[in-house]
Amino acid sequence: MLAEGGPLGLRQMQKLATRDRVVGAARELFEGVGYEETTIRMIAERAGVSVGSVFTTFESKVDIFNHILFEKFELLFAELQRIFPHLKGSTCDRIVSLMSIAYGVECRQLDLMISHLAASHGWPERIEAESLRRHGRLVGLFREALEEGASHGELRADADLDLFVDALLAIYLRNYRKAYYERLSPQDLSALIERQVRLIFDGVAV
Amino acid sequence: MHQTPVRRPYEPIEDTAPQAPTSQRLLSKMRTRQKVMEAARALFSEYGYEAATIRDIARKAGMSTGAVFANFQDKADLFEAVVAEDLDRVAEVMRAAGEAAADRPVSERLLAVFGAAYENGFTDVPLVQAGVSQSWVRPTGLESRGRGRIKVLLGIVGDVLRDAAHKGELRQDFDLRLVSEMLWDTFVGNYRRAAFDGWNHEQLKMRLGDQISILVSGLKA
Repeated sequence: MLAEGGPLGLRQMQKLATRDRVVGAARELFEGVGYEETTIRMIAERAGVSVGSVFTTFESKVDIFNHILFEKFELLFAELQRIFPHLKGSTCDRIVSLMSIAYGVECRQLDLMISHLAASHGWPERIEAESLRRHGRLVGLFREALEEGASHGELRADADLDLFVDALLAIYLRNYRKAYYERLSPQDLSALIERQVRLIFDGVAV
Repeated sequence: MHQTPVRRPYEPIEDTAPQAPTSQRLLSKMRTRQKVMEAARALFSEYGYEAATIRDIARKAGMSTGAVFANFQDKADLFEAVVAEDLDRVAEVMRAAGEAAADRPVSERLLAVFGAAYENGFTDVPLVQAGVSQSWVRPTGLESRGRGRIKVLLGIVGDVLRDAAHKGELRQDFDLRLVSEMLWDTFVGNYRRAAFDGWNHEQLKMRLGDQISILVSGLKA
């Protein structure tokens, strides 16, 4: 985005300013009106730019939306990474703690999270790839916790960690839906994820 | 992937004696409804929920938008009807597979139930993705109608688990609803792989087999 060295050209500065205005307007609309109800035209009007210039900075509505959300995730995941080494307890406890903190933060804007996850089932592969990359940090923490657990002999030697990490991410995300429709508080969610993760650890076999 | 033909609810009527005028009207109304749903199914699958319009659906069905609205309140209502048809059919497919595998160990039986849904149930991946997406944002009224049908499917899974607990294969004290929901979510979640990585039903089933074994046997040393 930035030019190699030197100050930004006028054109680039204008482009960045437009981008900021578009993102700011979109954020207000997504939070106020909702993602599904917001149109590119509304964003353009609020930002005081043409519909055409919205499209020169972002490919589609979902790209603007994800830009905003991925920034939020980035902050959250960085915070989780900072906290992670200080988390005590078993592998299971540490993973539950990570998710509980995330729920506490994301539930403040549950509507946005729900719209994001709904959109995730219809977006193009290019965005799916980016989303996976963005969640890599969270997934990395799950993996780290599991690997430490495995090194302490806490996990089965033959456990497929990739599979497990995948399952954790899926459950973590699916719970937002439950939170929304069953009006669960972050505390409820925290209790739920604890039961779920414990179940995956213990299994249900005799 | 092949598509199992949808059963037409009005078929038997055609074999019976001449109908009174009211039945004729009813019959033609049902045919219209079915035509709209077929057109809608095709367009929702091809373009997704948002991009498919009532106007396009009407055109494809060869009727006016007015005729569509005479049968369905709005696009959400129409989509719901298409999904409901699938959910009812899948319930039959899953139940039959569960019964056929009644003597198998619980992991295999669960896999048979879900595998049947991958293979013969929800076979239109774009439509499944659209359905999952809508299930996140649908207005609460519709959401609860869909949920009633999902509950039936969860019940089929729950029955398999209960049966296994009864036979002593599983612990007696686990939370049946929680486990059923986790299995269901995992089953649905795998459609992302079908949509984004082009997995076929065999690959989905193999993956789910691994996931089921984790849930059943746990990960602990």
